[in-house]
Amino acid sequence: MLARTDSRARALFLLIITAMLAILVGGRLVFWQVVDRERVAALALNQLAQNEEIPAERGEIRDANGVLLATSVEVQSVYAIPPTVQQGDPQEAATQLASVLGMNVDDVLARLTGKDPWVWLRRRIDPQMAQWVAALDIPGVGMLPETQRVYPISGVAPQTTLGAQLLGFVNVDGQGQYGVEGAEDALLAGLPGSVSAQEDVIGRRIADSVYELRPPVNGADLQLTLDAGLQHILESAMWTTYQKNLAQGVTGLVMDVQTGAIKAMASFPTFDANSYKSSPPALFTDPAVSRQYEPGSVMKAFTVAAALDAGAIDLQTRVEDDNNLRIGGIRIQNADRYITPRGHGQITAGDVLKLSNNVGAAKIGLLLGRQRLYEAFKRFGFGTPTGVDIAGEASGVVWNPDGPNASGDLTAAQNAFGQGLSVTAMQLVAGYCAIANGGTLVTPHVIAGWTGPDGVYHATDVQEGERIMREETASATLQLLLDAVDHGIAQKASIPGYSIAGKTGTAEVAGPKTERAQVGTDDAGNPIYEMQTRLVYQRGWIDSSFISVMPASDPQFVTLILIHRPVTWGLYKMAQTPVSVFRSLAPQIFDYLAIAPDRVVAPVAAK
Amino acid sequence: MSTTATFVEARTARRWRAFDWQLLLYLLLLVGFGMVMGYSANYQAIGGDSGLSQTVKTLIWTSIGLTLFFVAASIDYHWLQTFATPIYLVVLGLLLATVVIGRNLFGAQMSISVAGVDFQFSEISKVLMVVVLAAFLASRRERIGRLSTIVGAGLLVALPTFLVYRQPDLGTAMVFVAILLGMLFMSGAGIGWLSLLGGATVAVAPIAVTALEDYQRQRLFCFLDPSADPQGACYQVVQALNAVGSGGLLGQGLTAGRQNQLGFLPVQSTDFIFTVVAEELGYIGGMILLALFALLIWRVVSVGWGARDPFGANIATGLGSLLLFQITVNIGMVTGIMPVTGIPLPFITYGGSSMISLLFGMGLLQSVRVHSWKPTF
Repeated sequence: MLARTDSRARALFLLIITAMLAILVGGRLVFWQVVDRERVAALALNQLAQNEEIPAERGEIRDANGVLLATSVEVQSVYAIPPTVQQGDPQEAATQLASVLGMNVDDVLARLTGKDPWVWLRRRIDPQMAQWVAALDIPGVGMLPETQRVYPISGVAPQTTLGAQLLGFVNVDGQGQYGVEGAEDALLAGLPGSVSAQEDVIGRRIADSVYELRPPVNGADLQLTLDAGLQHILESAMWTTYQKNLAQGVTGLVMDVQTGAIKAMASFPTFDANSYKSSPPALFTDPAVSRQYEPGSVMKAFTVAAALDAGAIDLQTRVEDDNNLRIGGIRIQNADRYITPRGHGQITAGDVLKLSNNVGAAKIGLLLGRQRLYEAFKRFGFGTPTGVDIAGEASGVVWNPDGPNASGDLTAAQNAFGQGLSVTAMQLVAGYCAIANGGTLVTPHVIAGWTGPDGVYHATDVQEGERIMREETASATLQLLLDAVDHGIAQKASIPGYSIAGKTGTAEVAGPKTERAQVGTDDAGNPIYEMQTRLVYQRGWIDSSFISVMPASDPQFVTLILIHRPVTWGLYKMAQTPVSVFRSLAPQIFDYLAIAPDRVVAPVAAK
Repeated sequence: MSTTATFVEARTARRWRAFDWQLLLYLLLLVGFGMVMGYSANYQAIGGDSGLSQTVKTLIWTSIGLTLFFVAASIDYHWLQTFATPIYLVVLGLLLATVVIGRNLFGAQMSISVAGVDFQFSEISKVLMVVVLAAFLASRRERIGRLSTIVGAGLLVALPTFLVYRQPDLGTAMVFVAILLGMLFMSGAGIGWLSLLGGATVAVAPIAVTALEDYQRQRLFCFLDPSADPQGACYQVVQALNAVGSGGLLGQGLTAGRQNQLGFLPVQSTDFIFTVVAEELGYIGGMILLALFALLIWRVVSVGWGARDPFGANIATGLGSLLLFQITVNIGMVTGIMPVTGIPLPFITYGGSSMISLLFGMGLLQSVRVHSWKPTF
């Protein structure tokens, strides 16, 4: 038997230790279950509550007449919960899934055996695949509905969709990219809702669990100013000339002169928005807004307008064209220097536009003054984005002639006929709209309005444009442009029965040139050469364009046709000029929009 | 029924007056509590009926265990003292067999399948080692304070401890050590030497920890910072705490615990059964269970106190140490104050081996009580 006193003491010692442990456990339980209960219970609920996002329906995009351009359809996306899959046979699961989903077995296995608690396997599969996946019934592999953006109208060119660059697309994560989808993503996407359904460890939703539902706010439906029919006509014309000219790119644009509404806008090469992944990303931006280029002679209309508006010249003012203007060691000549090497003598502003005379334009610009020309160009919207509702717009560059990057009068003289500055097609067209609408600068836009989830239609607020030239200036310039087509070098653009005002432009395009240049001399006095790459105007590289106001008597549309780096020969000869593209396109536009002739068609015999 | 027959027969014997009815009552309450919780724990995990089939199994085990309880109670425990050596050899044989032919259970060879039923011999080994140690310490009665006593007892326990550690079953190894320390302490071993042994155990612990598999080590330290790897090694601890916290004061009701029913508790019917209690029956339910355990321990202590000889007292001490250690470590693990080790909660954790072994052990205790009784008339 134990010595009682000793064993009592020992028992007491054990009792105290046990009691302390019991108090610790009890205290711990009180802490977890009573004091900190709220937080811990919320934690537990949170993990049960797979806060599932209910995606909002993305809005549709329709053209001006309600033709569906972009919509969303529901498709299935396959996900996996690797820990659950790993409880089964991941190798077997990977093999089956790979064959059904058309994926690499190793890729699937890598995802199924990875550390992530949740992974996508393949998103947006077609319904047949979804059936197969459902039939496999692999624990830990499931499908969630996702939406896929669909652009239902095929483009004119093979493997393109209508207005792809204008519309943009929606990426795999549901974000709008480029074009209208990119610019108006917030409006189109809406707000996703959330359901806080409780799920068990393998993701089965618990039927009677508490739902905390925040309903999704669906995206707004957009109505564009675009006319799908006109877009098709324009795309056909542009695609044809893109091919004929073996051009690097082409851009066509039709805009309402009063509102700045874009009626049609097409560039090539373009892409298929339904499978944008197979296209090079360089095609995603719309060159009509993102490409800055030297516009060439189409700028002369703005030079003339600026000079007229400021009163620097009037319609009778004559300048001397000797085809030989020297400024700062640079000689400015006309495009027709080989035909009229000594120039056209005393010419008016009208003659400058008719002849597309460089020397005359430069002299008018200098008559106005280099700062005033620069300010006028800025006022006409060049050098700043137009604010069009398409993603990726560039601002263009107009140098202050007295600034660090410019060379004074030389810059002004060159800018006067459209070289030495860069613009976007959108800026040019907006500027011509101002000439056509009596002198206000419209904000180009492609969205006519949107219908919210409540069904209320909100028309785009078309701002009264800022006046950038006097009304008389605008109408005088328009008249000169009409003369330029009726009696000038752009005569081929005239359409029987319609008055067309317009201006051609051919600008040289700079490109990289690598050449050996002397960079100095060594100690012995021998020259040191280095290979240098500079941007220089490349022989035969041109941007050729034609901008028109139609019909000139009651201007409705400005149309731009731009051919970027066609294959040329001789002195800028090309397979199809912008003027001849216009010549075939314009009657179709008049027909399609049922615009009545504003001129009596002269009998053939009279010509 | 043989049980009833034995019981009735025993009732007639005069010395059965000493039979500790309270001990039996608390055991039955605990077993019943465990059965209800086991049913709830498995209610929805695999399907409603499987919860029942597990309950049926538990019922079978309990009846086997209760039979052994009465058999053991009717045997005079002194008898066992003479068989201490064979019992020790049986323990070694069982554990060795487990290591050699054991079945892989969760990455450890912890059970042997006999006729389709898995036996974890480590469970019965714990009870048998109590008997072996009790006999050894009783035989060293006169030299109990010497170092040789501690060394001898330590060596006796070292071999089976090593064998279960190799399975690897860290939990049972720790129970062996706890039984050893508890029995040495209460049987009157020298405090100085005992402190040395305790110190040595603490010193050896880090070495034992480094020898563990990675997953074991990670799990071991989750109690310090459960958020270290909530999806990985610490998953169980995090989920257990979530469940305990969700329970609140009154619990969410039987078969209604979300953490449990939705499968977030990976081993909810075995090592983490207390989380189910805490989640579904709340703080009150947990406290009732702890109170039952306290009453049981009280009965064990009182049997030891009333034992007529050191062997009986030692048996009570050993069984008390076993129960106390398992209860403390299991609940401590669930409440995040102790590392996660696979130690079952006595009578509550689902598992035949543990249930049968412990009821057998309680039978021995009852035997100590019955055969220590001195008529007072």
